[in-house]
Amino acid sequence: MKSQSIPCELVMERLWTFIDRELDTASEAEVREHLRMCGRCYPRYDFQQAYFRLMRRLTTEPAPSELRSRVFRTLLAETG
Amino acid sequence: MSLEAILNRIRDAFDMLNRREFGSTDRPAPAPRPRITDVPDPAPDAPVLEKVGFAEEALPWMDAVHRFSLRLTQGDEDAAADLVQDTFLKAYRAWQSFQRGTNCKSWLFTICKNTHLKNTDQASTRREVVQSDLDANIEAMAVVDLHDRARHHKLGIDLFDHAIDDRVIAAIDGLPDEFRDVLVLSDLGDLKQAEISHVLGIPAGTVKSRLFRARRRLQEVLIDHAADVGITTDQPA
Repeated sequence: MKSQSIPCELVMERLWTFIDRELDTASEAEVREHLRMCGRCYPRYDFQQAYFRLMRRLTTEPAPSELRSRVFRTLLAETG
Repeated sequence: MSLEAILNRIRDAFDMLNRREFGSTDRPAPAPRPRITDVPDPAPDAPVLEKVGFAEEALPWMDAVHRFSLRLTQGDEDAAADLVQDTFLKAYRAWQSFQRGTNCKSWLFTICKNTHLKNTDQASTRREVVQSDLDANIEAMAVVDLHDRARHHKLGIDLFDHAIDDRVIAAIDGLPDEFRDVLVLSDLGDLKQAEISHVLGIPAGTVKSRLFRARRRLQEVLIDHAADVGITTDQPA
């Protein structure tokens, strides 16, 4: 099957682009299939997944409520 | 007929019409209805912004803009708050220029970034990192080196899961501006590379190579820090 034939190097070269969902559909399928089958590449993917979990964890912090009020008051003043 | 007689006839005719249409003039006037005084003032939290759609489309991104501002100002809370306010005020004034249906977050980030550049007068003195424009495909191979580096230190993927947020934020803030901006917009702001290209006004290829270099550098710092503090695992990466 052609999708299984891409080499590890190409998968690693594309890994971040794959995770970022920036690959075209065909290339994405190739990488996905390779990762499913390759015991050498999958741990590297898993490692990067952990990095992106960390990044997501950092994006849950809300803006301070005082800042929200301040911005809203500013916009209302602009409205007149 | 004298003029006075004519006027009297006219007056009589009006009187008759009035009696027909409005009833007897002797009818008592209706009691005046009480003035409406019982409508409460609007609740203080219920004012409405004048520009349609702004509250629904732009304001929900305040958390994201705030996080971006914090990184642009390298953690300066007051400067970040001012930047958020300036961003939303400019966005509000320019709301008619926003194309509905396009990415509002990306649009707000663009305003935020430009406002920050103007505030800090970086626009004219902005330095280009020549090495940042290396081939992104070569940079992408960093995923192998990073994994090897972690394994060398006997670190597992839990080094990321257990990383202390403040330490990570400090590492992000410590990145060169060109790398940090791209990384924050991508990995914390969740923008696509084309959107980042638009926000920062740099080619998409440059975004990609800077992003990959930024990730590499950040992960190297985190791996080395974990190794320094002696985090090890029974299950190396």
